[in-house]
Order: sequence, then structure tokens, then C-alpha cells
Amino acid sequence: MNLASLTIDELIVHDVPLHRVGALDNEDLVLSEVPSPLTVEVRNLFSERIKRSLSRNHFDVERDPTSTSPVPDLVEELISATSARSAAVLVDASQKMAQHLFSTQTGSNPPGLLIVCRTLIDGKPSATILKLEREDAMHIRLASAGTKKTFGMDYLRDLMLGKNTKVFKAALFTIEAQGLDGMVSDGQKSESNAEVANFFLHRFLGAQLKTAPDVATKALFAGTQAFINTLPDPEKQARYEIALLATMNSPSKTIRYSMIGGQFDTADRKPYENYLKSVEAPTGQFDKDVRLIQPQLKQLVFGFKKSRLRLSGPSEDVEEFVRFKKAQGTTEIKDEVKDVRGGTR
Amino acid sequence: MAGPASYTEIAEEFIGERARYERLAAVIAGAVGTDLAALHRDVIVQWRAKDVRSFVKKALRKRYDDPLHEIGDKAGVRVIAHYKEDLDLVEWVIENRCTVHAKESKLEALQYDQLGYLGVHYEVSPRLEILEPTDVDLLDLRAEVQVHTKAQSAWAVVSHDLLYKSPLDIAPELRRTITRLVALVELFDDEVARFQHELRNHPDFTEMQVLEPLDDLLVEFTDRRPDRALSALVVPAVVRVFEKDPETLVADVVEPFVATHRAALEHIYRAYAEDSRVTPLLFQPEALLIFASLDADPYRLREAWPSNELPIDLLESLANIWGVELADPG
Repeated sequence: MNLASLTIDELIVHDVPLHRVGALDNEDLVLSEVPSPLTVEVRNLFSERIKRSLSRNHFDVERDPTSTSPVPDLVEELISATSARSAAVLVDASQKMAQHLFSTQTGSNPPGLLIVCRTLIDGKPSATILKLEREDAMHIRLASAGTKKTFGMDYLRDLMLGKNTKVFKAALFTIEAQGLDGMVSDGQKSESNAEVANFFLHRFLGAQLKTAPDVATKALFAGTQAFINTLPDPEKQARYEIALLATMNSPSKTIRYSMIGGQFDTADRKPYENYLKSVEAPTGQFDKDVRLIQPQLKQLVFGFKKSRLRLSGPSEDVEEFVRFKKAQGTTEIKDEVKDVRGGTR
Repeated sequence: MAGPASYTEIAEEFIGERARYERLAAVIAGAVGTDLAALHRDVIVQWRAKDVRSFVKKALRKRYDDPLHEIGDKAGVRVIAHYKEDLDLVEWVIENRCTVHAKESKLEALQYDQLGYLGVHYEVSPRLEILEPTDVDLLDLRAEVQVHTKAQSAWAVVSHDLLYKSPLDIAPELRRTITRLVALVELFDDEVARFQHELRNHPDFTEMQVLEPLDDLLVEFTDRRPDRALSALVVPAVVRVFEKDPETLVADVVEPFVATHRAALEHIYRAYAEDSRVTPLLFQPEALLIFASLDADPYRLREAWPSNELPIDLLESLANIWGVELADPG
């Protein structure tokens, strides 16, 4: 999907308050009954924030066939609506989404605004769903106290979309031949509370990641390693391999190729991204699961051009004791042999 | 013994030939003008066959025995270039299209302490390849090609009108008031040439050449006037990201990019036409270059951005519009 082509046709906002299960004093939903009027500035600001969020850390998703969430059907209804009925469908479908969000979320899910948009991407109808949390802010303005100048300050509770609004979940869906196809960005996806992290994607949207995390992790690892082996400089190969292993071994719960590529030289980053795309390795964000590649994360292994020698060891030892001298076509190990023994290979 | 030819005899002889000289001037002017236009040189090309009355007066005044052969400017072409530095190229084109029998630089003919008419005159005949089959009778005829800068031409026209066509016998001190103006012509052309030389030697000149073709592309999407000072800060750094010849960068990279993404670009420029909060960079010619760079390699663009002169927010705003992540440099 080419995000540059994203256009917002209509947008509706619903207020979804905190919902504590069993509590008698829960606030009521505030549902809009017509789409919000949009100025050019507001339309473009929303469009930019959606693009920014989805371009940075999106997951490729599809409908979860086991989910009971009504959202996938409502999204399809919204995308398929004729232009004559589009506003009515937007109101109806989005109200049902808001009611579903309210009824399924618990006290651990913060209150916020649910925004549903009829959008176009690559000229095709699409639907975009945003969830924003209210953010506090101060409005500071020049005032006067008697004859003296001062600044007056008002506490704003309603600010929801500042330039640096952090809690911003976005989902963009189109209908493809195989069904609902989408991308989801969730600023909380990497947090440690799994229930909160997965709520938006699974329970609310009724969607799942297109590729299982362990398979995606393995594909990214294999694609990255293959790219590294296309490089002619052994010193660079070693450096990048160390970056790959370090990222895979890091405690981060999610991963994206840019977390590895960000440690590469600038000139190699775009070729790396292009290479991953060419071998269909994932370039979106996903949950990291290294189970399928665990044995390969323990140490670096080097093969050589002329001999059958192999060099292996932990990455920190390679960094400290091994020097690759490409110009001379040699590899230097700065250590003494301690012992030697026979082996199978 | 035959006496001097009469006014009527001279006139009749030239009238019979004048149409050929008119064709000759037109052919040479057409060939030279076409070549210079193809080389993107903005020149004025004028041509004419000599007026019969002027021809006869010249023949009688100079007492030529055979005026039809002795008068050299029966066919005249004048090429007026904007800049002195274009004169070498004009000469190259003339030599390509004509056989040059004589060349006279008027400046070289002057002593260092003399002032006077400037320009270069060529006596030429057309090369066979510029003649249509119906014009091969022109092959042996000769024409005079005058080459001037605009400033030289202005002085030549004015001095000719005021000094040579004057009904009065002008006193020397009064003649000098016009003649001495030619010093300003020399100064003007030389200073312009010096300026152009300095400009070309500016470290950013090569990169800034992309602005004009980018401007030509941008007018498809917006008619806002760009801020050249902003371009001067942005363009050199962005051009260098591509590591390509700036002269062909727009044709090789940006034009194909625009062709591929025309619909998205049209949508963006339509959506932001009335947006009061939009970044001014969007309406700069270099925005197309930046979009192409964001598409090709945002990492290098981010690193190359002149952050010490321009806030990174400017670039981020375009990245958000284009829907591309702008990663921090590692």
C-alpha cells in the first residue's frame, strides 16, 4: 500500500470512557450521530498522523477467523458501502465498533476516542480506525493582572492529537482477493502487559498477524544473514552479523528490520531493505519469537574462501580477538593456541 | 573604352541577382539559428539581402569596377547572442554550417588606445549539406555573417543611426560622445562574463542547476512561487545524496519518479493547496527531489540533511506527507 496516496473522505469520532467491569458508576459512551465536519487542516493533520504511525511500526494483519469481534464485518460493510449510503454506514458501523470497544475493554484499558474514517488508498476504498487517548496539556496565554502583564494558564483535558501524541493506535484495511487485508500500528504493542498489548489487535479488531511470529522472526534472520553474505568486506560482515545477533538476543518483545539496519552504515540501509523485500522477508514490525533460530544465536561462525577452516565463537570474542584484513586477504587471531583435539568435522 | 557604369546599369545587374542573395541569407540564417536553438542558446538571428538603392550608392561611392563581385555584404546575416561567452559556440556553428573564407574581429583590429565598432564578421559560403536540391545554385555565393553580443548590437545600431545617417556634419567632439559609449559595452560584456565565471565556480553551482528543470515539473502541480533562498539551503545537500550527475539527475531520476507517482502527487498538491499549516517546503521545486529521495533512500537523505541550517522538522513534515519513515541516523 502506497501511504502517500492515502485520502480521508469522512471521519467520525466517538468518546469511549473507562469501563470497569461490574462497576455501577461507569460513564456512558458518547456517540456521534453524523460525521465530523473537516477543515483542510484537520483532514491533512489526521492523514499525516496516520501515515506517520503506519510507516514507522506497522504489523501486516488479516482477519482472525476464530475471533468473535464484529469489527471485521463492520469494516467490510464500510468499505463496500455505495457512495449514496456511505455516511449512514459510517455512522452505524462506527457506533457498533465503539460499543464493542466499550463492552470488551476492562479497567486496564485507558479511556479515549475512537475515530473511524472512510479512506482511499491507491485509489481503492479503505477503512481506517484510530484509537487515541486523551492527553493533558496546558494552554498558556498572555493575560493581565491589573496593569501588569502575566501569563494565564488553562488546564486542557481534551487535547487528543498533538504532534507528539504517543498513544495512537491505527489500523488501515482494504478488501483484497483473499479477504480483509490490513496494517496495524500500536504504540503499546511492545509493552510488557500482554493483555493491554494485544487487546487492540485481537479482541477489538478481530485481526491476527499475517505470519506467525516464530516464522517471521526466522525469515527476517535468514534474509538478513543472506544480505550480509552479499557484502564484499569481511570486517563489515562481522560487524553486521554481530548487530543481527545482538538484536535477536535483546529483551525487546517486538522486532523490525530497521532495528538491525539502523546499526548498519547508512549507505547499506536501503539496499538491506530492498534485499529483504526481494526475498519476501518481513519489513513490518512483529512479535519477536526466536524459538526456530535459537541454536544460531549463540555464536558467530565464519567460513573461508580458500581453505576448509571454520572459525566460531561468541560475538564479543570475535570483536576483541579477530581482525579481518581485506586488503591482504588475511584474517588475524590475536590469541595463543591453548590446546588442540580431534573432532568429527 | 567603357566609362563608369550608370546608376541604372548597376541597379539592373543587382536586381537580377538579388533574389538569390535573399535565399542565401535565409538558408544560412535558418541553419545557424536552428543549431543554436538545439544547443539551448538564446540568440536572435536576422537576415536580409542588400537593398538595391544601398547597393548602388555603395558601388558609386566606392567606385567599384565590378560591384556585384566586390561588394561583400549583398547577403547579410546577423547573430546576436546574449553573452560574450556564447560567441565561441556561435563561431563553431558557423564553421560547421558554412565555409569561412575570412574572419575579422573588429576588436583585434583596434589599437589598445582606440575605441570603435565591435563584433566579428565572417565571409562565408554555405556548405552543400545545408542546401536543398533547389538551392544548390547558392553554393558559390558569399554572404557576410555579423556576430554581436546584445550590448555590441545596441551600440552598433545606435551609432549607425546617429552618426552615419545624420543629415548634419557632426563635430568630432560630439561624435566622440557616442563613440566613447562603446567602452561601456566592452565593460558590460566583460563584467557579465566574469560574473558567469564566478557563478560556475561556486561550489553549489552544479547542484543548483537542477532547480530549473524541477521548476518545470512542479508547475504541473502548483503555481506558487518558490523561495530561492530556501532552495539554496536545501538543494545542494539533497542532490549529493543521489551521487549522480546533477545535469541529468532530473531527467534520469525525478521525471520517472513523477511519472510513476503522478496520481499521488496530484492528490497531495490538491489536498494541501489551501492548508494554512503546511510546510513551505512542499511548494518548492526541490520538494519533488526530496520525495524521490524519500522513496529511494530516506536513510541517506536523513543523514545528508543540513540540520545545522534547516530544522529536521522540515524534512519530517514532507516524510509524513509522503508516508515514509524518517529514521534517525544510527
